[in-house]
Amino acid sequence: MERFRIGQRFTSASRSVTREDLATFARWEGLRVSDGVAPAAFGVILAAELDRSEDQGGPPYRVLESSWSYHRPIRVGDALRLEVTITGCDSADNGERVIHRHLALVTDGGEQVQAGTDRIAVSAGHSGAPDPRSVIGSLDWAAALAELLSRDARFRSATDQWDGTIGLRCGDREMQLRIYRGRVIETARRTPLGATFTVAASELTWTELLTGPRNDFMRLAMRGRFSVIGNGYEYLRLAKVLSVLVDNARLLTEEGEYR
Amino acid sequence: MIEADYRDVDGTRAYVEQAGTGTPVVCLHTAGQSGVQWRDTIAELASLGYRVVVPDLPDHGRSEPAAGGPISDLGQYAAWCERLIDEVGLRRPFVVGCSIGGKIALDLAARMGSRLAGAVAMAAAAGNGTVNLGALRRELEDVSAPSRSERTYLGTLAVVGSAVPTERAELIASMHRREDPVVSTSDLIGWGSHDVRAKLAEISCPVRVVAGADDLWISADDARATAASIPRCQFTLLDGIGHYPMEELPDFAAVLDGWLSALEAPRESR
Repeated sequence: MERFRIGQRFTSASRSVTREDLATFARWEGLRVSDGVAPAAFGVILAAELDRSEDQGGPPYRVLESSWSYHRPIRVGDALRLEVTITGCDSADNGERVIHRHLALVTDGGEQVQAGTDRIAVSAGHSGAPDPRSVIGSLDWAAALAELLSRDARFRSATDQWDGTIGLRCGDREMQLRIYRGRVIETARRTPLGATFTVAASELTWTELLTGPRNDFMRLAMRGRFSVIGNGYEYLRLAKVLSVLVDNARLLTEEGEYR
Repeated sequence: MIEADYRDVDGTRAYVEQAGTGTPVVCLHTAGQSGVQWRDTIAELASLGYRVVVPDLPDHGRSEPAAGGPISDLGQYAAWCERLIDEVGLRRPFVVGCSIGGKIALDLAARMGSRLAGAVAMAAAAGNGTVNLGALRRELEDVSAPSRSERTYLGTLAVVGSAVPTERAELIASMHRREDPVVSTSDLIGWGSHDVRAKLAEISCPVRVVAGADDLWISADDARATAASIPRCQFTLLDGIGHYPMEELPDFAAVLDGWLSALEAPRESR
């Protein structure tokens, strides 16, 4: 059975774009193609072609929704590969697993030309779910994180004189950690007074942070990959706490075991 | 041997270390820091035939404050360095600086021209540095600058290069935590507001611009553009190195010696 895990990556083989590809696409779509530049939508079709996880023994799936960005035109002669990253997982009402993915079309030189996200439904009978404690932004993840933080002397010491709530937003999911005198006293989607501040980023950014080779929170924040909503003073004040929090969240991803 | 002295420069009692005899080289530190950043360079560079002069800029390290309080105009530091060069009697020195020190080195190259043997500007581009000036000005009030020590420590770690061993990176970050926040913040305001681009074309001494590929404070493209605007300039990109080459590169003195020797050669190719 295919076992998904957060941070799992798949890279396709490289594929050169030919004039014949564009001619076929143009005929199909009723478009005119000139100067060897592909229409924007060509990238979506190419990504679907390169996304052959089913051919490699993965489970069948259907796409529920997708969002796509165009960074630069695709041209004849571009050699492109598809990089897929699993960024999240939840369940649909009918019991299907819903896998969140980030997809990027990348040249052999490493330039990202198009990228996007999608959510695909996979039959629960065909796929093992990730450990819920490793699904960033989930209730189980936040509870497990709170437990780890309560055992971390650095966290207890750094928050010993703090009373507030940290919001952690991953894509469209937010978890709040209510902290009082060195302890996380509650984890919830919403706390009565709301978050003192919320640290927000895309699912991909959180996934890269928590599954990458080192704790890069400060680097990603300096690059603008995280945003902060709420009390900026308290965010700055808790610089060390956030670093320790990320250290612990990275442990959760490392410890993830899959059913 | 390293000789330490206090010199009165432009109204500031300044701490200056010197070592060696030979071609004079002035080494300038980064924002909020001090000449201690050159502790692994000074003696070895002196042994390679240089007279190495390492000042603590006004208000930094062991130097007393500037007469008008913390300085937020890098041009003022450049003018001060020019007077320091006269005060210690250096004839056609090289100037090497990093970060704000790199920008000051570019400014000095424009001011002093052929009175310098050359300049090495590390981790610096000529335009305004990308910082939030409004936020920095707010942080001049201590009450608005929470956890400054931790932020300096973590912020330094974030801009040390990936090739640097963890233990060394942590040492660099720990040393940087010694700064005075108000002085450091004033320096960063200078970093964000000082622009020497208009003067680059007139620089008459040879220059090398050096960027670390892992430096988040500047982009390699901006540093390369700075180099391209200077008539006699070479450019070096250091893989795996961040914002503090003199602290990150083992055997930096030998590397710097190579750069200075290349500057001395006539008409280097870009």
